[in-house]
Amino acid sequence: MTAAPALDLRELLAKRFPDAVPLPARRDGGISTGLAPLDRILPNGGLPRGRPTLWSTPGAGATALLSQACRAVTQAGMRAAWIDTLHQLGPGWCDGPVVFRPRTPLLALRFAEILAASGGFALVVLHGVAADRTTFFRLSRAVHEGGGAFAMVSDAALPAALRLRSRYVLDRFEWARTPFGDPAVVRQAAVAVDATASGWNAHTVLSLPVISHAVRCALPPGLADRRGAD
Amino acid sequence: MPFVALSLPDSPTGAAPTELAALLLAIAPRVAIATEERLAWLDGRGLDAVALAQRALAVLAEHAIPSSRAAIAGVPIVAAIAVRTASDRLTQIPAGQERAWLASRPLTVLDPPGRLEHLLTSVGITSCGGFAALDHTAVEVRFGREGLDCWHLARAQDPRPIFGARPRELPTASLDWTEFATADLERLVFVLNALLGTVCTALTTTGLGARALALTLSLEGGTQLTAPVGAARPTADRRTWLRLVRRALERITLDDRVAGIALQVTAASQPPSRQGDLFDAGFASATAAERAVADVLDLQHDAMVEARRTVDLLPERRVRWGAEQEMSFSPAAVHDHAGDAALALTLLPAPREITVRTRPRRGFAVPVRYLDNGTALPLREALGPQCLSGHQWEMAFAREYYQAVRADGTLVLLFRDGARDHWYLAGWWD
Repeated sequence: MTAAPALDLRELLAKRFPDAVPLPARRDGGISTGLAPLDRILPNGGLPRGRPTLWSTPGAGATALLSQACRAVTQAGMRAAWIDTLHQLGPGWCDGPVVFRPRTPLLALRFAEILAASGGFALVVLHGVAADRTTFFRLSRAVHEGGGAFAMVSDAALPAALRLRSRYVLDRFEWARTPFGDPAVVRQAAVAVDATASGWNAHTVLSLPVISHAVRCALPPGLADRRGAD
Repeated sequence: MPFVALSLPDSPTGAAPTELAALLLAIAPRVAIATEERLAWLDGRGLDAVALAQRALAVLAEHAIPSSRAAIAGVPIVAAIAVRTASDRLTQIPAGQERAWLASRPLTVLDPPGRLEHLLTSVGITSCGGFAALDHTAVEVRFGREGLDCWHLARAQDPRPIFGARPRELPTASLDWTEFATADLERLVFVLNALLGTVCTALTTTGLGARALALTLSLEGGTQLTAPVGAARPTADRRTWLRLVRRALERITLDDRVAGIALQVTAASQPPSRQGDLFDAGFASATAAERAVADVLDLQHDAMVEARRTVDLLPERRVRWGAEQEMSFSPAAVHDHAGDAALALTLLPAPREITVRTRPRRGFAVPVRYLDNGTALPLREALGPQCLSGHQWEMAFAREYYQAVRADGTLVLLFRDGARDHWYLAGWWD
């Protein structure tokens, strides 16, 4: 088929199926994180496809931001997978991605390789594994083969295509205070995110609400708490 | 000339209809007994219909029905009329001559309703040929629906299905053993793997994918246990079915040892078209995702988990992660999750004991720094305490929880166990 009929066909299909995502578009552009300020600082407007992303600071909002990216992926009709190596997901976890809990870190790496290479998941997040360089290169090949986005949360120094670092902004915590003036609960925290790629870097700050760990009188989930604001 | 009609006596003196059908099934592939019409139908398609009819008459004669007659025609109504009206023992209507044969017969052979017969007779139509010569629209306008039905019969048009639809044969495989019995899961899975190989090969050759299987276990005591196994999408993939069957097997409580296994495909359909691959990102990857998950579950069968939330006071008991029963790979499984990113509590698998330095505040010892794995971590703020106690009849606890902000900004959850006066790190917000 020559180029002109192919372009005509593509144009016709785009008119016939305006909501569809053409296959070439899935290879281009990034996977949106669902957070506009973060997408703006990422190359191609999101997490890169076919190349690994390394989030090198666990514990500073990485779970919150990547789980939001997973939810954005599922909302877009694609699939996301989350590999919880350290079995640390807690009660505040919001459903969205398929969650895998491997028994060992080695199994976690194996899961990541299978899921990333399959091409069936637009975003795979591997949380809590300290991979060495050899393993990381092997994962990179799997990610390239699958063509999806892959994010690894680890404090290991690895040569990823895109590296993200996050930290809390200390003077931007929002507190709720007791009648005595003591801080009672943290309502909101600000997270600064630095994105670094080859010859390129960007920076943004996001304000994230903090989900309280406290249960108010153990109301069954789904019931509205009508006993006054906290 | 596919239809062979056999007349049956009004008052059967020989075999009952079911016995008669069994006798005729020995010579014909399909048999239907029309008891009201006193007819037996044989399917002669692909066979020598005359020889078939002669054999059938001989069989009936052997079983005390010597007066039976037979007629062969390509149209059921013609065969039925021929066997009722012809005087010969065997009547054969040549193929393509059915309408001409019927044309000379009186209209009454079609058994029209009395009102219709009167109407037709009153306008001079007494033969099937005369009625068949009328125009379709004229018949419909003047004689209505029942007139039209009779008109079609007069034209030797009888599309009624004499023989029921042939049930589709779905693949099945079974294995019984008599010398031993077992309740060992791995041995059963070994046998099931072989049976699934047979079933999936049969499915693949017919271009079908199974949507549901019935797993039947024959127990040593003689009883049988049947469990349905379903798949999210029709598939003939052996590994997928082995995973699903294994999971079903794990849920079954066996009262006795197993002496036989049978697998029967109970629902099958064409595998979903992959046309959507070009357009729909979620749809495109269903097969790939399913295979990848199957591979992962082969490595660890309980790897895929889902959160089951409780209303327990303790954070570590507020969510339990259990193996996900089933994953749908279709876009319908995509939920619309609302909500923006938020920092949520991540928990250590078990609270970790730490050393804490405290200062007094309103009657409580508030942490100001803690030592974790040999690292001293100062705290900017410690919010709390939130005093929790409960589970008096099980594992009584009394805890003081503090939400603390470390010097690097990390939000951590610490608690003091009131019973033991020990401090623990429960988790952090991430």
